[in-house]
Amino acid sequence: MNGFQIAGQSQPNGFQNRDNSATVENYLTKLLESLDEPISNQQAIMKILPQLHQNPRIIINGNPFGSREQFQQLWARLPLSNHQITSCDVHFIPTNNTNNPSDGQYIVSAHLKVRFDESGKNKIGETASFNNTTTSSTRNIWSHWFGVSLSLVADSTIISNSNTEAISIWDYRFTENPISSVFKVN
Amino acid sequence: MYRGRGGYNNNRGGRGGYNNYNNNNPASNLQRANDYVNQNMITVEIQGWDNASQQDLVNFISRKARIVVSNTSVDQSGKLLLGQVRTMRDAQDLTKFSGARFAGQTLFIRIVDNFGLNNNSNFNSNSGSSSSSSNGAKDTIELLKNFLLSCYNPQIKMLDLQNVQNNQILINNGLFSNANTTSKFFPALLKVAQKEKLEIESINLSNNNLDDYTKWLNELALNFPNIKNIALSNNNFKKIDVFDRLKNKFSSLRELIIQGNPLSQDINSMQKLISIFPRLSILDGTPVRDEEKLNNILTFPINSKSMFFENDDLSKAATTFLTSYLNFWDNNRMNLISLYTQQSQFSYQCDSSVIGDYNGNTASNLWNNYTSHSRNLKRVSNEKSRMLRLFIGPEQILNTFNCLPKSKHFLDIKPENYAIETVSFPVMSGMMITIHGDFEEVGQADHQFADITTPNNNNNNKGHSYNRYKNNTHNNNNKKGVLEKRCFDRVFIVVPGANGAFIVASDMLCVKSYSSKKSWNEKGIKNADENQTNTTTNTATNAITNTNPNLINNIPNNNASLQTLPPDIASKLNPVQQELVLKVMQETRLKLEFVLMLCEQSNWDYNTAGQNFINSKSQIPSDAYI
Repeated sequence: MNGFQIAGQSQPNGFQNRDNSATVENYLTKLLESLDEPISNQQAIMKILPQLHQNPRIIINGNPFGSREQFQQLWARLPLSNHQITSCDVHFIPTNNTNNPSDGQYIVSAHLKVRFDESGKNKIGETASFNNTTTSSTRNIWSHWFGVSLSLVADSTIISNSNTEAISIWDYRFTENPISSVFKVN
Repeated sequence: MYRGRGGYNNNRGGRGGYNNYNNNNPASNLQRANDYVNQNMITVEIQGWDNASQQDLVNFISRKARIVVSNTSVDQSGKLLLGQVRTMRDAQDLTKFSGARFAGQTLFIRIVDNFGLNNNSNFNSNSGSSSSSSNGAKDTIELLKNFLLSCYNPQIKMLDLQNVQNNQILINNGLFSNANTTSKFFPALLKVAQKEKLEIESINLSNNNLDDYTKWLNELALNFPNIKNIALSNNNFKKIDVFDRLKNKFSSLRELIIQGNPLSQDINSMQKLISIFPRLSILDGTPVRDEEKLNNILTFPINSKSMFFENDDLSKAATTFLTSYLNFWDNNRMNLISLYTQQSQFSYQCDSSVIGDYNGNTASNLWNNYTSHSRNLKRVSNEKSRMLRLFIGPEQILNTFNCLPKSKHFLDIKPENYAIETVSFPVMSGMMITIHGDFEEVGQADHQFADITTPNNNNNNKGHSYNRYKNNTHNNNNKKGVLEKRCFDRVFIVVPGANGAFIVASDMLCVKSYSSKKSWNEKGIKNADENQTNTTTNTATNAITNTNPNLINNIPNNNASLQTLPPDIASKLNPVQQELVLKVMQETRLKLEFVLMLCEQSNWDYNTAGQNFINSKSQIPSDAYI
């Protein structure tokens, strides 16, 4: 076993009792905001979850993704989204680095609700309408809420800097579908 | 249309008032309002009233039941009185008035409004009793059914209802004889269509003189929300408002024909129609959206797959772990203790929000079994409260397990109701297993959480954990929650322990409202690239369904050594003592020699041993544990 202490082994004095959950909660909010931001240009695509490692384990609806860039390109072509956290929790697992007792991993489990714009355009402004003036002037038409389970693993560096590439696992799964919705999750 | 301030008779022409229509003519407004009320009236039948006059009865009901009965008429026998009330609620309230004494008789009142078509209509006017009234209803339904089938084309799933108000058969049978029957014709027809289970993708409602006040479109949206094509040509729609009220309905509507209506002359209204119906691709025969592109934008591009395992090894390990774990979770949570070490963490969060389908249970104690120690960070903001809800070490964790309702999972019977993802967790050479699904609560917990805010005065209980639980029998049963079917998400960080046994480093459970519409289990889900991942998925599903849920040895390998005592030790102990030693060893994870010491010092009493262990835990050396 590497790193995890079994019964009886001492661990860095009191570290586990240090509560950084509020910081991690704010971090989660920030991550979701980056998913919901409208995208004005190609550069902005890189601002979708920049906290992901370059090659993290990304699982969406039970499908693996090869890289952060692949995920960002996918997300940019979705309609505008709006996430809300309905429930979340976090655990910290120290990695027993004697030089740095705060070194470890944050495990986050959250239940979210998310809705999508159904007006017929995506985040980067592509529209299916033959008359662009029709939809570009319309407000967002929000779908009913979908339920999402999100579990992620982030390095402890997020406590001091929320912008570092710290997320090694990102598991995002739709768990509840509304009874009827224009936007479909199959 | 009834909106804005001022009511029907407001003659001041205020915003949005009824006067905005029909050129501010008060008489016309009043007529329309009266028509609206008349069209929605419910017919009731009253017996046992004929010792007095009709007016006496109406006055009596108005005085006693506060319900106005109007349009009264008496059948030929003179014993049955038909009348109308304004709403179905009034009608239902009035039926409760059955049994009241009136003029020396007992009143009997019932609702006879079967789709509104068997009352006050010509074909039913000669009904002299309730039985003939009922026959009239049957005739009407049969008439509607025959008419419906004559208009339905099953090949293209189209219902052609052009110009129905001039249909001679319907007219001859009195279906349009007055405003009341006319208004109820279409809802009744749709109900019959539903009863006949007609699949309707397209409907033609052209040439029906429908106007901005029609309820036909609302009725259609209620009964056939997934309709794809609607033709409304040559009606009398003038304003966009009637369609604006249909926003969020007809979510599958792809083609609409509106030509021949005054509305179709207004370009702005036509553009607004496009935005009201987000899936609309063809309007009056003209493409307005690229249908393929629209489908791409409005469909999440990644199809759900219920199972993902990073590799075959993880697939086997995770399915074995989960099957055994949930089996013990459902049947004997004590057996899970060996999976948790002193550093293991467990917490649960309950999320009472309802997303998707609503299960209808609004009981105030729906979440009582969970709320007190739920670590939903959105609900618990205080740092100390958060820490109190994080359970560390096997004792705390097991005690918490025993305070949660008994449950039954169906992973082996209905694997389709579960989704699992497993990825490696290289930092600790372990794996992260996430499972989503549902379970049934089958019994209240053996123990109940103590009030987390109440200080415990028992000085003997120095152990933090023991202060947080108390025996169920000492608790107020009123605090118990409802046993329900619920959904859950659970995340395990599982790492290898001694001899390759599983150790749960982190365990987070999220208990949610039940939803039958699980995203990965939607009907009709067909993944385009199913073949690519089917192997892993099927392997996992097979593994789940084929795994023996009693494979205790598959969880902690070292557990086997805990099941028996060395012969030299066993020979010195009686059977009761042997059992106690094994039990204490499993729960405390102390080495055998320390367990023997603890039991002897506790006079071979289980409760005393547990108490002594808690009291002296801080002084027990680390090498005393397995």
